[in-house]
Amino acid sequence: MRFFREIWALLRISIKSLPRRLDVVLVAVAGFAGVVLVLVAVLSIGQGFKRTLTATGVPDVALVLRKGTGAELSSNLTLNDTEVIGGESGVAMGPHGPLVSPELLVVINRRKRGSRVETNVPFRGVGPAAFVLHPHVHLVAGRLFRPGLNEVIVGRSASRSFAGLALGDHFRSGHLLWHVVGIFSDNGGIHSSEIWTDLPTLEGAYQRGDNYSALYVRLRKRSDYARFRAAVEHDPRLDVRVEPEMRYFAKQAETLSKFIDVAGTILLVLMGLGAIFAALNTMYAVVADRSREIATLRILGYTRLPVLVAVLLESLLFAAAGGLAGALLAYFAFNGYEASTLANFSQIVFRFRVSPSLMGTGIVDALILGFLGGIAPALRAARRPPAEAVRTL
Amino acid sequence: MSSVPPPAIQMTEVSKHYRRGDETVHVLDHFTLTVEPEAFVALMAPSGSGKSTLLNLVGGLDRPDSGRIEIAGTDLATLNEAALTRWRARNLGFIFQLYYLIPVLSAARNVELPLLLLPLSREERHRRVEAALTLAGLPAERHRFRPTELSGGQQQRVAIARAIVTDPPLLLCDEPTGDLDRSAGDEILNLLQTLNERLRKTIVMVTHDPHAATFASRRIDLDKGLVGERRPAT
Amino acid sequence: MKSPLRFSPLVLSALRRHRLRTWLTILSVLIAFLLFGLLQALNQAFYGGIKSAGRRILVSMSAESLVEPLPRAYAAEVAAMKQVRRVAYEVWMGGYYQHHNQILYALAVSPRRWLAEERRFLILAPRRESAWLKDRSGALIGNLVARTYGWKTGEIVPMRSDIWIHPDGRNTWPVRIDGIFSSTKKALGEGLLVHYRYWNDGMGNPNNVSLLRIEVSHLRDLGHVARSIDARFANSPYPTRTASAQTFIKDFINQTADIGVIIEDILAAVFFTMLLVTANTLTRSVRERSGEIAVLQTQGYSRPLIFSLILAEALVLVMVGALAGIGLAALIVQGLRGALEAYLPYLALTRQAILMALGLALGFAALSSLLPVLQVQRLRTVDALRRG
Ligand SMILES: Nc1ncnc2c1ncn2[C@@H]1O[C@H](COP(=O)(O)OP(=O)(O)O)[C@@H](O)[C@H]1O
Ligand SMILES: [Mg+2]
Repeated sequence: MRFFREIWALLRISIKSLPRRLDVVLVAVAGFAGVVLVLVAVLSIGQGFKRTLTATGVPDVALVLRKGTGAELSSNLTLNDTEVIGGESGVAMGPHGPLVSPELLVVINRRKRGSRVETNVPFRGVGPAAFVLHPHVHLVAGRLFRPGLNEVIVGRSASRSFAGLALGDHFRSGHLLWHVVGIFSDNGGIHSSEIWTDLPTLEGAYQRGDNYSALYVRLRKRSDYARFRAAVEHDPRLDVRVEPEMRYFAKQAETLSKFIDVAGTILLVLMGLGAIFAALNTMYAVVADRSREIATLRILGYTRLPVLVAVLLESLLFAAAGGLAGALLAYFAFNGYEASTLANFSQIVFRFRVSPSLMGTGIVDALILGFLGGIAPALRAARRPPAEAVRTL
Repeated sequence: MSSVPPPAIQMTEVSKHYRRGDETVHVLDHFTLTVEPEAFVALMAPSGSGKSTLLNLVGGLDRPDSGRIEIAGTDLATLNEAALTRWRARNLGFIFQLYYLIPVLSAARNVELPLLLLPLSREERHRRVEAALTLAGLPAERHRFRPTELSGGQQQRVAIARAIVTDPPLLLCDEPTGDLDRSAGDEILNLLQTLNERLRKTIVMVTHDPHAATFASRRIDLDKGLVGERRPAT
Repeated sequence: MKSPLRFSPLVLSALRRHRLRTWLTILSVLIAFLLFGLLQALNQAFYGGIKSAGRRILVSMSAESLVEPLPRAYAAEVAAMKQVRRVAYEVWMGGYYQHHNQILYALAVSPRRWLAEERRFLILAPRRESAWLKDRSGALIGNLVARTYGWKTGEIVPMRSDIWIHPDGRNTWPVRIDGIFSSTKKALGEGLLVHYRYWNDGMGNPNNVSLLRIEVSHLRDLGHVARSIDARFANSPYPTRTASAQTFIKDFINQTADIGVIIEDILAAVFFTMLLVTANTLTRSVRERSGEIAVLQTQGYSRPLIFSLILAEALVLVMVGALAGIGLAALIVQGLRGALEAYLPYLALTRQAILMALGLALGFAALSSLLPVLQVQRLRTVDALRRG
């Protein structure tokens, strides 16, 4: 009890004297805010990117690619493969036969909106079962494309990020003219960055005959995956590899996320060091400013530990305020900010994501910095003999 | 144990030195002093002769190099840092030349500070603060003023209220009138006299002002025997 | 003439007053400039390659997309244009060794043309050169790849391709190493070159190329040639997009992420924070000394002189920190270069970046002493003396 009353008395004094030392306090808070802002902003890029890729796909769909290829763009399958794979065990059946979607992926050049940079936008030709296999994909405006008429639907992110892809727009790619008749959403998944049309139309436009890139296969149950994979990979008629759809997309996030994690860590360490030096400077100044008050209280019978705790709490308070300000600033400045990046030769549009947990991380990091910057000055304040503090006034 | 109460202060052969660069300053050299309970003692010495050092030792803010200090029978050397701090809260009131009030707290809040260390209810604390301030002679309408809104004499009254609010038997005053003009100083000295006579506080006041010393019941001149000579460090 | 250095004890004593504070401030500045140096080096690592592309080089690709091919016959047509000096073509092999993430930067090129263009950047025995020219399934590799995988001349590398599949469904493209070169162009050291005919035969003679590399005779023709190439093929089944090689590289980087912008934003935040901290330190130290400064004024020190003293103090604080920070960054970059050469060949702290840092440090010192100077400006000697 007494312990807390002592701390409270010390804290009340420091809170009441805040206005008087506003400049020092603001610098301390701004220092923490700056670090947390940068940290949260950088990490939100990785989080947003990862989320877009991990939000893609469903657990009971498998992706079949040509053996030896790393990605859809370089894979190549034929109509014959479709039939063989559709007959393997574990494949779910729909009203018109096996639930599989052969899809052709190409990329086309589009200008990024508001810039002169030419980017590679993925263009996907899909079979009729596509909307069953990609249950997250749904139209949000316009209507579906009609086969054979060079009509496309465009993912919401692609439509926003690239020029000439708004509802009703016509765009030229190569020597063909395409008409945007609908806009779709993929609930935050990667397909929102794509343009979709029906498979035969795209195959025709790109002279692919009946070749396509990858086959999406709906399994009867998720647990059928191993059986399906074994069947397909051991079938002498096939030369393909199988991967769960979700893992395939999650893997694509790895390189960039790793880069951001490494860069973010280095940044955090350096900026953290800077923040600790700044916090040390501030807290030593605070302790010097308050040495007389603290000495007075020590003479009145206040013990050391509450002094230490109170100074440390003050540092943590600044850190928390700065951390919160930085996290909120990052949230309002960057959350939902739409950016796109190149992965596997095609653009992926994603949003920076300042999640509550990321903001929490930022604030916790600030508190750690506040502790590291506050502990030495707090020790000095608590250790200093009051007689000396009073004498040197 | 005898039935006679122990002296309020018993200093025996106390020595204290400071180092200043490679020079050793012997401030106290085998210094001995006895103060009886309920006395009002004025210690007279010129500036820089070690008066504050002496009070700091008595108040347990500093430790002697050698010798013994007993306050009301308690040997300070037997108390560790934490115990000494707690002992100070119950047994001592300090009054300084520069008051040492907390500028951001009102007079009443300043006086309440030592009470926070005791297990008292808020009402009880409030009652004691008002009583101490009234006793110290601060007009009731000023109890909520901040130190900067008070005159020097009034600030010293607040400091005195803070020193007596826990009702300690011993008050240590370090040049309490050093920063006040003559009439304000006399009022403070009269107040100390009252505290000594009516509340039976033992008071030790150090001062270099002979006029201030006349208010005490006993005057000790320390200009000899207190200050040691300077010797080179060995 | 009296040296202004005679005031230096005054400045130094001000800095020595609170040693800890001085050191902490210098360390904060050091960190800021260390970050600056590292981020600039990273920026250089990303964009440094742009300048390495020849200025008179145009690149022509499919207008539809990066992965669509062009007919090889275009090369001859373009070469026939008046302002064009030379045309080379290449196919991006999409090669990898054993696993997808061990990427080989492999190109299929016409060997003679490629050597004609790049020979001056290569260190390679003529014997090796001719061995490669004669060996259709042979490859030249850069010293960096050779070092990464420990490959020697004469060895057969079982390269696979992510993109190109033989008509029979295999994706293996084994090549024999005919020579290992080192190059003054850093990116080349990562390269692996095979004969165009090796690829073309392997694919069943599609006679396609990924892109054309066109050297124009005069820089001033660059835009004109690019436009006429695109106009010429606009209505063919394979329309082209032609731009300078530098533009292509920049576009590619900007597609990956606008790194430059992100780095600038981070630096702005860091510097703003550090500025605040340093300015605050100085403000405090000036405020503490307002009495002494007033005394100096009564001794006939003019305001400009006192301002100069404060500025000098800021300069010492900031310059010591900035130089140490940049120096440390240079050391770190130097140390990382060897390790990262394979990934970031252009990683370097350029002289330009160092000069920029010094300029920033000067501005930084001036800005952070602004506040304390304003404070002195407001300080009336008598008040300061009274306050003590
Ligand atoms: N902590 C200390 N370190 C060094 N010298 C000190 C210290 N405290 C006091 N002194 C020196 O001891 C002497 C006595 O000081 P003090 O007790 O404050 O004298 P007074 O209160 O009589 O003016 C002075 O010379 C002073 O400089
Ligand atoms: Mg004194």
